[in-house]
Amino acid sequence: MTVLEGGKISGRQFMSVLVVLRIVPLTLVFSLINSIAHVQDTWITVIIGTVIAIPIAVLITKLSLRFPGKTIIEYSQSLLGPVMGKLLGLLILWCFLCTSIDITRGLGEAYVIAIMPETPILVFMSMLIFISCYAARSGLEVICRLGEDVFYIVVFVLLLTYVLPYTAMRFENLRPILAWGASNLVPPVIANLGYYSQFLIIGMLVPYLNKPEDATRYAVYAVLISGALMVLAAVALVAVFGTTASSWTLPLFSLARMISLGDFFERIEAGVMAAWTVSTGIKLALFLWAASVAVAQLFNLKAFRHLLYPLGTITVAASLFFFESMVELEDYLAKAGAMVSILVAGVTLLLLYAALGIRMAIHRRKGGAG
Amino acid sequence: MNIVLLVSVFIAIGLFEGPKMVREKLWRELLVFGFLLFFGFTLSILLTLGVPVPSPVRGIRSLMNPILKLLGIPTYYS
Amino acid sequence: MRVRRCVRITALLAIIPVVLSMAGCWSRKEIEDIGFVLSIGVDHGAKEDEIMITAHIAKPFAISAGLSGAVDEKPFWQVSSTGRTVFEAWRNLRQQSPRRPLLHHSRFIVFGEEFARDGIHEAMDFFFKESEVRETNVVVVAKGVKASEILWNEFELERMPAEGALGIMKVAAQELSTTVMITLNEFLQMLEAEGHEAVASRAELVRRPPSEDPRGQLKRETISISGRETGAAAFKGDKLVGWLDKTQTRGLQWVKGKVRSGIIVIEQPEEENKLASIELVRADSTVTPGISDGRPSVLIKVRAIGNLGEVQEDFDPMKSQEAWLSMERRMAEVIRHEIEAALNIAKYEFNSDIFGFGAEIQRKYPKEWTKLKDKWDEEFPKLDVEIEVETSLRRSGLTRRSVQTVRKEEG
Repeated sequence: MTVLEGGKISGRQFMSVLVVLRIVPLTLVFSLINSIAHVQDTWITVIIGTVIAIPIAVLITKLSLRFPGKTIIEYSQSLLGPVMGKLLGLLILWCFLCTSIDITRGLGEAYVIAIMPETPILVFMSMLIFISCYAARSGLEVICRLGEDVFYIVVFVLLLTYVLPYTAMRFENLRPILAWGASNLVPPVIANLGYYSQFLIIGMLVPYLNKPEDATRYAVYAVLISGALMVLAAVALVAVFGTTASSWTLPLFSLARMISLGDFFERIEAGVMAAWTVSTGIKLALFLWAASVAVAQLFNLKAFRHLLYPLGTITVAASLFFFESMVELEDYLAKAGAMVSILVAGVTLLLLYAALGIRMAIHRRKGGAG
Repeated sequence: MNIVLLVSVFIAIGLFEGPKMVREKLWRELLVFGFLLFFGFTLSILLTLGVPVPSPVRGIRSLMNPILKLLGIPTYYS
Repeated sequence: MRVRRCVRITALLAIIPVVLSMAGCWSRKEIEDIGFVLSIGVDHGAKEDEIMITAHIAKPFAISAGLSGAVDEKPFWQVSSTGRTVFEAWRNLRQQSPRRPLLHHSRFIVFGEEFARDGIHEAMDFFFKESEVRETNVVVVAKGVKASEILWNEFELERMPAEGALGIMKVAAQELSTTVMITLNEFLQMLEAEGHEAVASRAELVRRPPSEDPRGQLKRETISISGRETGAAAFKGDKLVGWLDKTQTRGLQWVKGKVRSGIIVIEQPEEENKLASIELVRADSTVTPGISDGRPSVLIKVRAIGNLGEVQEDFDPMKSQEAWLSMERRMAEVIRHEIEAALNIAKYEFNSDIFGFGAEIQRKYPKEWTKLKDKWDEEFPKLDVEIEVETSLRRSGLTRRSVQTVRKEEG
């Protein structure tokens, strides 16, 4: 089989795109804070979710490292056999597409809500899809190189957004801590893990790393960095908004609007909007790339690039009719959507590791007999 | 008007990608490409014409709601 | 090749917001088509169940011409419209305004007293949801008048009334501490918080009969209505329950730790009928709730640092340490009185926990709070409040001792 994607990416680029893909929902709808009943505990739930996410990321990475040069779509076929493997591949493909659809709609909604309520959402979404398809067509190397730059920009904007509203911050808003029991913590942890389950895409990226041995380390870094950025976001939001923090549709955008230093240093929210756009663009490019490579590998095609624009049109159309409203999208992202992602990631890992275990056992017995 | 725009977008995509595949004799690829493009086209046309397309999100939600309820997460949509 | 692609993609992504908002398509806003709203007032309409919105819109041509000092025209325009909801009333404004009013630069959200007394809840959501409204707007309640009337006030030194009011309010909040400056964000948090009732800024009208007062008559015909920004408006739930005067407001600010500066006038020790003024330099406070036998109590600790700014009779601190200490004690006494004034009116007149003691209890004793929450209205007036004030005088200006004037007794 010919190599579909010839690009090579560095460990740091790998880490950057992983952080960016986790940070996109933070900059748009911060589902964790939207789904929690008492916002004071949000930062704790972020830590819990992040700690659980580390083994998930490590498991996916380690599994991929056992099959050098093969993506998760390919090695699931060699582990589970062609039929089961293809079915699992389709499930993963469905997840990649769903993620693309969610974030396309999410960015469109964010633009409409925040600045241009009279503009049809289709305008934003089709522009975004077009650019992302163009980027994805250029291959993984271009996406990841952009991803690294975007990573620095987004982290800078986020840190600025956390620090600059300091005049409005009241840290006593963060108390009481853990006063509502564990039931308060469950929904945001689910939402958080739902997003971290998108790290399934590691299975598509590891084969293209120039130094695969660094993959695990950088995957863990990615989880930790994104977790830290979310903890800070939770702290800053609750300090500034108190209990009203959970009522914002676009929490980070509203946080940026609180920044006013003197009379000149205002309108930082433009920076947040730029961060949305570039990070969503990169994430979308990455997932469309992964989806098209997955399609190509499922149907044994020799090329994936020409699949991008058709997939893009499907994504735009689907993002229009999947969700009726922003409220529905938010609810889906925090609850059902998150749960599906967790289940798919869980089932994938379980099946593949089980198959791997059985294969190794058979192999050992054969080796012992022979 | 919208439909004209839509059709021209899809024709443009077809013209942009198709000839290359034909030249390189990637028939299998052309088939998948054609299928995906047709699928996207059908969805878009249905949406433009205002035909209600059932959203899979609803199905996913009704599958997931029991699990969510088990975890104590309130679900407002059914 | 790859680098060029990277650049091209970044440029394309960056262009989206720029293209759409500047040369944009649908939500285009040309500077010639818009009017910047500086303050927005909310009142009851003339008809029942109607809301009246009053917008204070800047006249751009009057401002720019005003720089050269040629135009005598008022640089603002005030217009009201009604509707059943705030949003409807706001949109109905377009029937009267040839330019599209925009809220991006608005400074104040003003409620008329009557409206505030009946409850502001139904009006708040618009300001929360609308993306044009910044959460840094200051929430004001107009004492005794409608919001539409208070917006007519004008100030010297500032052409735009909103800027004038903001300037006065900033000074009053920072250098006098006799007013509260509550942003929309803080206001909403207080409305929503358990055990913390809301306060807002208070504004009053000062009517100046033009014939009697020549002060305003330079160039601009007259300023017949001016404003006063002092004190605070106390809410209970979403309803206005009363007003805090300057003393009570500073009492509130002491407890909240928001006193920045101010002058404390005390009687000068060892002298009769002579006063000394102390300039506050720094102050902070801690509120520590406690619960014993299910009964809540609160300990307020205030620490204030001041400088001796003025004495009316000769005074040399080097001569008598006792006098210096006595001044510190008197300063503490004044602060205690102010806090008590605020406490008393909040407890016995309003029965409204504007200090947020309930919220403090919730933070420290979340379990006990769930029991207290429902009967907080009965508990709050009975609450034991202990006040500890620690003061220190640091220095006494440029002079160590005061000027000793030679005075001749008459007769």
